[in-house]
Amino acid sequence: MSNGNQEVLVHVKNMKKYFNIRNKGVLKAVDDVSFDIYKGETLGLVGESGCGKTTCGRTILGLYPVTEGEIEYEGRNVTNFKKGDLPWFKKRAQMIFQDPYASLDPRMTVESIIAEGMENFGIYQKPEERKERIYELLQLVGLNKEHASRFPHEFSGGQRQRIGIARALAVDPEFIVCDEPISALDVSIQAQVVNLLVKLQKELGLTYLFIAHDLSMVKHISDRVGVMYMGHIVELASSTELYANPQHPYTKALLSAIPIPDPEKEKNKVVLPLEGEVGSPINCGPGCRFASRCKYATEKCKTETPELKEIEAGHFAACHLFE
Amino acid sequence: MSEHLLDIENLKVSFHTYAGEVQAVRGVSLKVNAGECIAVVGESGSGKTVTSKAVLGLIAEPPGEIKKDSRILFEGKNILDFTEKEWRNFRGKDAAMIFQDPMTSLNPTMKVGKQIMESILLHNKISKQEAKERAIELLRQVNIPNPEDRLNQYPYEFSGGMRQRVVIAIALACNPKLMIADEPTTALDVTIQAQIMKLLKEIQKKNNTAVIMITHDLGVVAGMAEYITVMYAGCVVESGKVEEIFHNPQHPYTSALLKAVPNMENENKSELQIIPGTPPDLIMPPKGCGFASRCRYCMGICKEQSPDFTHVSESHKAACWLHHPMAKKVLGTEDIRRVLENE
Repeated sequence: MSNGNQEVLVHVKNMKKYFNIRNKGVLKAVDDVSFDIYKGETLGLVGESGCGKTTCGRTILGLYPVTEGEIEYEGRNVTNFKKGDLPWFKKRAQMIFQDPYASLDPRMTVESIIAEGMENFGIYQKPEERKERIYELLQLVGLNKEHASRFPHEFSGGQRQRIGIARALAVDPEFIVCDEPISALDVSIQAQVVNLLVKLQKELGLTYLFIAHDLSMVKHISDRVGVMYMGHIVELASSTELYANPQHPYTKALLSAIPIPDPEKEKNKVVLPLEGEVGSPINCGPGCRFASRCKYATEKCKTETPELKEIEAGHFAACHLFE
Repeated sequence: MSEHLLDIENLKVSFHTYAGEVQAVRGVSLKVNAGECIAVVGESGSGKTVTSKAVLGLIAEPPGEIKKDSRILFEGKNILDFTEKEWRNFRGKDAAMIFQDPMTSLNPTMKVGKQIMESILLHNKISKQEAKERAIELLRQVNIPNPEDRLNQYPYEFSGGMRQRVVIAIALACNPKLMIADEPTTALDVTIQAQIMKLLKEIQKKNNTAVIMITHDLGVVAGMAEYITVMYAGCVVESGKVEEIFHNPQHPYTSALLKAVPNMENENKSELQIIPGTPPDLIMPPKGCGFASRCRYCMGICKEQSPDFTHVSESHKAACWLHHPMAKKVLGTEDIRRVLENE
């Protein structure tokens, strides 16, 4: 995957994350995915629940140890980092979590939540400096300094997500994994948080991996979008290209299922029938994972895993149809 | 039609908590005709679920309280005066509910078949064998493969989408005249959501059941509902035919809500229109319009007095001071739309 003038920030190579399940076997949550994240871009990752998108984001940050494969950050392989090297990576890569109610410690004040990362990395030796920075961060995310001494339960969902964002920004990261940051919020609040993330990206030059199942929001915020299905990336393209010209049968079905907020179009649109349900990722063998639901599936699809190949410039798809 | 199937008039529901009285629903009126699908749209805390629970008598009193002058007429009878026995006859038979979360609305210790047969046996004088046949037929109706075997399985053996189908089958068990679906697809993936919505639409057409769809997602109801009621802070702010709401919103909240969702066809990545601020605290609801503090067109009167409904057309009405003749000098009804569209 080359893209001439853009600098690769995160390089994921054949990353696998398996979980052992007692008495049942191996759950292949993320199975051999490779992609690059360029500096300053937003890469969206979409898919149904259980497709491995969250595991993918967490594994990149080292919250889960990788089963196999490599993750390079600025050219350094972070998967085999010694303990002493880890802070270098963790200071640069941060995460915003899905549930703003569960991801903030209810017994800590907002100030100590934000300060925790700074203390860990020894940024700002003087307490006054640190305090100053915390107020600055709160203002940056649209809260004010009076909020610093309060506890999480005093805030609404949207405000809590802002605190989560301020915490991620506290250590001046370059790369942030946003794991469904808006799915727990109301529609009118979602737009507030998304606009904030876009603003911060412009001002601070951040790179995002934006994980979500809300396809229309992902299209809005991402430069490129990857579609995951049962641990595989099945399609990856620029967001305009992917939504205008989807190639993989799964992407097509997924996009056709998005409800359109327009009564005439919604009544007349054709939903590509997607029969059945997502299969089990436990002990699954080779072959295209989508084969059992795909109407174009052949014998080959059931036995051979298709590779992610470039079918047009910058447009990748993993399907035997394009060979 | 003069006689409505369901006619909610001035419904007011409060909950008494330690912090004070939460006025969750503050004077909601809503009408549903037989065989019709209406959608109630609003954010969390706007009172849409409480309204639907009141229709099925599911508000626990205390801490809840349905105010004296509220009326809910079902086929002309005020169901708020029902005795517990009458309620039991009503629930499940005349009106049924599909709950939001299929993971928690089924009993995990009971076989699926038994859960479906429960209400059939309660409301009809038929034998167990007949009830079982009816249950199989219902499962077939909601497109569950191998219904004979599935009947003897427990909910944990079903996936999320399949469980929601079971919940729908239970709701359908006695051919209710009214079905209330409380965010039936919120917990489901977009592909499963499309399947469930298609199923609900088919059932509604086939059985001529009236459906109240409760949701926060306007996109979900665009293809199904005939009428939409938009709620905010416990009040109805706008209601009308689905086309009227989508193409000609007359309340700033409806309009902002429609704009807050990114348009899939729009290529430009401009900022999303946001609604600043947060919904009001319903322990101390604002004196005027509930939306005033977040409204960009807020006027002096908006904070003082709550607006009455202005009828835009026979079916379309909105509660906003911008429609008042006195405000017309600044913005006419037609102008609001133009201004909202241009921004």
